Amino acid sequence: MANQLVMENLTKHYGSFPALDGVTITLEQGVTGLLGANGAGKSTLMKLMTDQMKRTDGRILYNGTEILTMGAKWRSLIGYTPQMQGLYEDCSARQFLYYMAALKGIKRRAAKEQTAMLLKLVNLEQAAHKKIGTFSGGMRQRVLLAASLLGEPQVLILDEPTAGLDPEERIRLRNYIAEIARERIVLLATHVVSDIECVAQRVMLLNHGKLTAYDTPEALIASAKGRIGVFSGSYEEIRALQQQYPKGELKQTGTGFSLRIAAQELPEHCTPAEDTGLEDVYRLLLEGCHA
Amino acid sequence: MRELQRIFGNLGTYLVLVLLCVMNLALFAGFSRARAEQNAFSADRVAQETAVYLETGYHAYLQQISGQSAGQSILSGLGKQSDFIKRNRALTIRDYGALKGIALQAGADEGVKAMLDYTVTDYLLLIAPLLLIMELLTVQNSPCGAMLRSTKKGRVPLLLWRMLAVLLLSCLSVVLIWGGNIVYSTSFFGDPVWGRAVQSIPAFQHCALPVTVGEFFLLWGLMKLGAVYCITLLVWLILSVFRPVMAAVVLLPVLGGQWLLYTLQDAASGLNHLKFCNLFALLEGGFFFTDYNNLNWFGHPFAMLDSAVIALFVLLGAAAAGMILLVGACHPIQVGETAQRLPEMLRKLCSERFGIHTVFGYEGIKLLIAQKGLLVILVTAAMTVSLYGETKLFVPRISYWDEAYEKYGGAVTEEKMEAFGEYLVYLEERVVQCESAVERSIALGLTQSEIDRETGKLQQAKEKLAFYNNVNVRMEELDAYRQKTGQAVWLMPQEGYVGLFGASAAAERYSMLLLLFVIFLSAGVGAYENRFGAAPLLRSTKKGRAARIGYQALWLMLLVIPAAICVYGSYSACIAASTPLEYGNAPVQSLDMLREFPFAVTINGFYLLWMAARAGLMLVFAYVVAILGSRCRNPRNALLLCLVVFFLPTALAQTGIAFLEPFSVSHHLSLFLA
Repeated sequence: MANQLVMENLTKHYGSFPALDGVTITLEQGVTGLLGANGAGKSTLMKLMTDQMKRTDGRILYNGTEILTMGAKWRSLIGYTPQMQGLYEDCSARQFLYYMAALKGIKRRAAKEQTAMLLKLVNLEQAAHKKIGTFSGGMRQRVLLAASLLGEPQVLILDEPTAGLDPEERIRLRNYIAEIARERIVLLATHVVSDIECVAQRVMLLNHGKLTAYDTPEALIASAKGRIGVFSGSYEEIRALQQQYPKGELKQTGTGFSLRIAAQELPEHCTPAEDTGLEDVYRLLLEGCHA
Repeated sequence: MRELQRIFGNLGTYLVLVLLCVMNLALFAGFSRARAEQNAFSADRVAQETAVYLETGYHAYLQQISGQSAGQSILSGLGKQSDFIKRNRALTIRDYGALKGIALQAGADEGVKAMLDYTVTDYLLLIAPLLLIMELLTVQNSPCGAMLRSTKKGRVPLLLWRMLAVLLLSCLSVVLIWGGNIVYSTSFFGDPVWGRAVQSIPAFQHCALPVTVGEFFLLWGLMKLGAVYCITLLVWLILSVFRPVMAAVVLLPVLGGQWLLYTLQDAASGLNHLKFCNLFALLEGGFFFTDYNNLNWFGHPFAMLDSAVIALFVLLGAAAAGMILLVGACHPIQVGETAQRLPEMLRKLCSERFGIHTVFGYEGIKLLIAQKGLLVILVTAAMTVSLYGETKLFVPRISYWDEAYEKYGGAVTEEKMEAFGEYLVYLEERVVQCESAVERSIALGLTQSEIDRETGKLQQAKEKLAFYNNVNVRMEELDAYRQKTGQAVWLMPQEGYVGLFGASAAAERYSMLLLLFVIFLSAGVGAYENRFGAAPLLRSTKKGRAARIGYQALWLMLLVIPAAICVYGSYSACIAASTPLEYGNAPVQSLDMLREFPFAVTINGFYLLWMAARAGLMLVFAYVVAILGSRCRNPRNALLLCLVVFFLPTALAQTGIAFLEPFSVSHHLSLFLA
């Protein structure tokens, strides 16, 4: 039977501020992309899923069982990459992974094998014995990702896992996530829309703590058609339009400038874009238009 | 100038200074009070000796020197011995000749002597400047440091301002921390009379400098300042030029070697120059003023103080030039890339061959290695050994006691009471006999010396009777208790056990050390995760919550309880070494202070229970410290917070501020009985 993670009316308030407001969603095996601006509630959702904080209301059920009642059993099923890089800077990557393996209750031999495999996967074999404190941001991110993959978790919760990675590493990791997601539930939150576009079977959009859309990338892209336009003109004209659409994307073209904008109704002289993508859906969300 | 403002505008700098100041003051106060307790028994004898010294002793000493050049104990070996001895004799006579006719004056000497003997302060002086250079090094090696170096004044001028800041902080450190000792010793032991010649203090008998007590303190302080600044500059230079591992390799001989030479080298050895022209000698430095020695520099004698000061200036010049040339003017160089691979190889070996794969093991590594718990344990062990060596306990005993305990010591029984009654009757009769002997000798018109002898015997008999009457009161009290409760109690000496279970300045010092150990060990346990933001990741794992915290608690237990037993135990050993504690099998109610103790246990049994309770209490305290520390963002803040909350009131109470005594954490945790 395929695994299922159900969130029902999931709500979290910080004082009177609703960080997450009645989110109801069912996650199934495969990658679910999570898009939202800063402060939209992505990290709060992930913290609730990993039981890092008390929820105000709602339920999270894994295969029908509330995760709070599962306790340590639930935590042995998940892999989590937090957004903040929580790594001990004075130990090596290998030591850190061994420590995480011990915390996940993985046996010695399996821990060694998995650590070696994951270090190879994240391309840190050569730096395995260096102190994490000497690592770049991208290297630290890879250590975190490897840590979350330890123990072959059934549910992977990845908060910006590809931040700081170079394009080659990003593609490699994306491919790996896509591969392992065939048998797992993967929730992937990122600002790099192309990552989600490539691997996500479904995408959820969060805005001000509310779930504004949850569908396949294709359906979301189709819904954006006709609401994305490109305006070409002189720099002054573009500047004037930018006042109206500050989140529009300015591009240098051979002849001048163009501004790609998202709006419920496109302004005059604005050509509807043919090459709509998930990034446009995200732009629509930022502009406050429902996808 | 902005750099100075940045550094001295930081409140943390002052907080560290204040904490160091209070910590030092508490430790010094404990030392002074313990010393005063010990000296109380010999105060009269010392006062008499000092009076003789001031009146005739010192001038006789000067005369002796002018006759035969005494005072020189070193025959060092750079140059021909015969030339050196001849010149040295002349120099010694000349040096002491300048002191002829010097006026000596009495004053409170004990404070100055306490400062001479107390060396922990000297090492505390280094902490604030070293912390500052650590911060400067962090900036220096960061992208911000690279940005600063790319500006017009970001190299030598900025470095000079920073060096000035380190000098100013060293000054502050010496003035506040070491100056605190002067203020405390003056208030505790009395006015040392700043304007009198330093030779007025018997410990300075060999001092050949014509200085007053005040001038001596000024010179001594300047020497300490020079040594602190020079050590700091050297550490800064080495850590800037070398990569961390290589820096450790270089620092070890440069500073560790100097310390070993200073500590272990014989003062009379041929190369004693290395002992005296040494930064640690200058840092402690009291013996430069209390001893008189000239070093043999190629057959010529030079005062060891002069030699040491010249060496200090040479080292200071070299360190400053090194900083300006290698750190300021040149491109930053980091020598020792190859050595840097050493820890990497070590880590590889450790994790592949002897890798630890349990949460318990990793929590131990985090506590002992990453959070420097091992260092805290080693420092505590060294301080315990040093305290044990310093603690001398004198328990005055009246000579009749030994006789009384031999005859009537042990369980108070009816038979013993009867025998004691008979002995009292005998003593009373003896007094009567002595009285009649005196009367008879007067009546017979014997010589005065014979009358005096009989009177002496009478006096002795009366004293003994009075003493045994006191014992009788005590025995009757014990017998009454026995009859009332049916519990056997012993007649036994109390002093040792009062010292063992009761509060005293010496015992407080051990408790204070243990308090510091627990704070330094436990404060960072929770804050360590916060520093790296690792808590959310750890909490998302199977054993990352209760199990992980449980293992941390277990580690604290494994370290704190043995430490408490060792530290408290070493104090008990000190007591046992000075007063035999032979009555361990007596019921605990035999001790006056524990007469009302409700359970029937022996003194040994009670001691074990008491130690267990103290160790347990210390463990609970360690958990409280860890919980409080876990609220902080990093271990440094946690340590500062716990020091302020738990140590500060304890330390201030230790210095004698009476209204803070109820807040003395170490006092309460020690469960002193009286």
